[in-house]
Amino acid sequence: MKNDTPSHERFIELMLFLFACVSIISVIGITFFIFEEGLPLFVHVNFFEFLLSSDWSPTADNPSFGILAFIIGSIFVTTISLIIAVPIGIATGVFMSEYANPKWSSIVRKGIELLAGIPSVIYGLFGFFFIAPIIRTLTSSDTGLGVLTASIILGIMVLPTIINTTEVSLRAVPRELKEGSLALGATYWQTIIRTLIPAARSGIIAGIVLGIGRSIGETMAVLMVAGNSPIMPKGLLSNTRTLTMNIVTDLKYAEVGSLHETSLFTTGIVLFIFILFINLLVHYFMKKSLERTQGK
Amino acid sequence: MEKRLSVMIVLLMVAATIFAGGKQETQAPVTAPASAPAVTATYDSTFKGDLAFGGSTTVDPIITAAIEEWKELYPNVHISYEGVGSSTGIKGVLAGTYSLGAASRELKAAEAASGAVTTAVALDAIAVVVNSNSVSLSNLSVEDVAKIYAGEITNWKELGGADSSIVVFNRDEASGTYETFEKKVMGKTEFMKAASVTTGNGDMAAKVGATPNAIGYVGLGFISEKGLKPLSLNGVEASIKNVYNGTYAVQRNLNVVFTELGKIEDAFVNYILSKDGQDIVADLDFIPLP
Repeated sequence: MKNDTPSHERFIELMLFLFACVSIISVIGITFFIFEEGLPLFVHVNFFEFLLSSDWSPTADNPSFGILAFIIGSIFVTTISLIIAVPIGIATGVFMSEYANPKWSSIVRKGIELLAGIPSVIYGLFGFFFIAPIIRTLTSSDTGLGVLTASIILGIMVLPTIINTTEVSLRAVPRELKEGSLALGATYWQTIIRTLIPAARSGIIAGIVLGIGRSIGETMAVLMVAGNSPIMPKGLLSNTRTLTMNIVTDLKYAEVGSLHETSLFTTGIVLFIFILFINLLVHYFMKKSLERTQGK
Repeated sequence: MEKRLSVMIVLLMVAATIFAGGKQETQAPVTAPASAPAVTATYDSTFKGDLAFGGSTTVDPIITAAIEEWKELYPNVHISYEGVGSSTGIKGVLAGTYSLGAASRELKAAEAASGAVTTAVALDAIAVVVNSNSVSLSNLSVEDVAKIYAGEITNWKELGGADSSIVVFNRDEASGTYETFEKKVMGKTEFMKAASVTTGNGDMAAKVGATPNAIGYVGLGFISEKGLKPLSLNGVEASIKNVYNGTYAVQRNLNVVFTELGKIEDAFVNYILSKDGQDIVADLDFIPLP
């Protein structure tokens, strides 16, 4: 059969294969690049000091490269953003899949699609000119910038991801489960809470983990609203700097070829490992979700 | 509304430079010479070769822009500039790695003794600015500004202003503006780490302009941004005039550094000192020589 394929068909197949390789080559190239640029830092700086010190003074006479404050900043901001986004996201997903009539469902879906398409700079502007003044008025914060403002913005940014995966996972739950629950006399709400959400659990968690990935990797929006002080965040209203913010802030001025520049690539490696770990988690939960809905 | 819009535009531009990976922190250049500048007296068509320059990141935009212009003037001359910092640049000049260096500071005694020479090609001055709607003060001493940035003075009332906390905006540690401010204002005093960090002159201007009770500092080219009020320092107003007569405290020379000027390097320095070169300096929001 294969031999009968006209040669131009095989040519197209080959071309498509080559195009498919572009992403794989890119990922390998980027990985190689950041490790090659970043790893030499540990020749000069102790590995544990880099990860466990929170003193970041790369251009001081006696420079110090500690990124613990930024790791904590990233985790802190991401956690709070999920605390905000997860309940809203799951509730919206449940509404879309179980309650909304087609008209409402379509309106909400269009809104979510728009939300997902807004560039992050705009989120940053919105945060700076709208959320920050509100935080400034409602709390003791002088600037309105910091962990809370950044988390609110990130929370809004990850909503579409969580809503979509929740809705899709709920719709994928086998019909018999829902009917069985209702037939046993459970109310609709009981069915959702006790049957549908547990059945769709893996998919929903995969969506949340995807959200974590987006939240931790976001740069521009948080840069504009998090205050950007290189200090350990002390609370919700404290200024903070995340791993991504640290790279953007310092890269513009780091001396070419200096240890300072290298340390920014090393920061990138840490971020890369975070994201890799998160992707593995997503993969795991996706697989579990698939097995569950296929009734294995 | 109009004010908010213009601040937004500034922020957008800041964002744009960040996205573009731009090194310079300027607004869009007002005028860029459309064609090769007028041929100067030093023009020599026999110039050719590869030259390596290097030094200060602050002076980088000026040198890089001049190199761009030179490409049209001398197509056979290829110049590279490495932004490795003032100290490394001077070392490179002394070691012969660079035939021309640039430094945003003056030479240390040891460097001068080793044979390095400087020529100023531009001036840089930094203005201390406050949020114009909420801060009534119009003059501060340099010591008081240092105390604010050290976290020792935290309320405007201690300086004779209203009873409200001072909101301090600082710059990223590696910026040239930060470096000058540290040298000329802070001296030996340490910055407090808790101040919010902005990522460029435009970002600083937008945030100080929009945040009540805020203080910050920007290059002199940015003091007329919306919502900003430049403060006089020790009673001296931040103006080009006071920079030229030397009374304004927070200023410095931007220098080129060399041991001996080759023919091409000499022509290059003269180009920066020419009217075309000084126009580049002004476009980049530095101050041309008087």
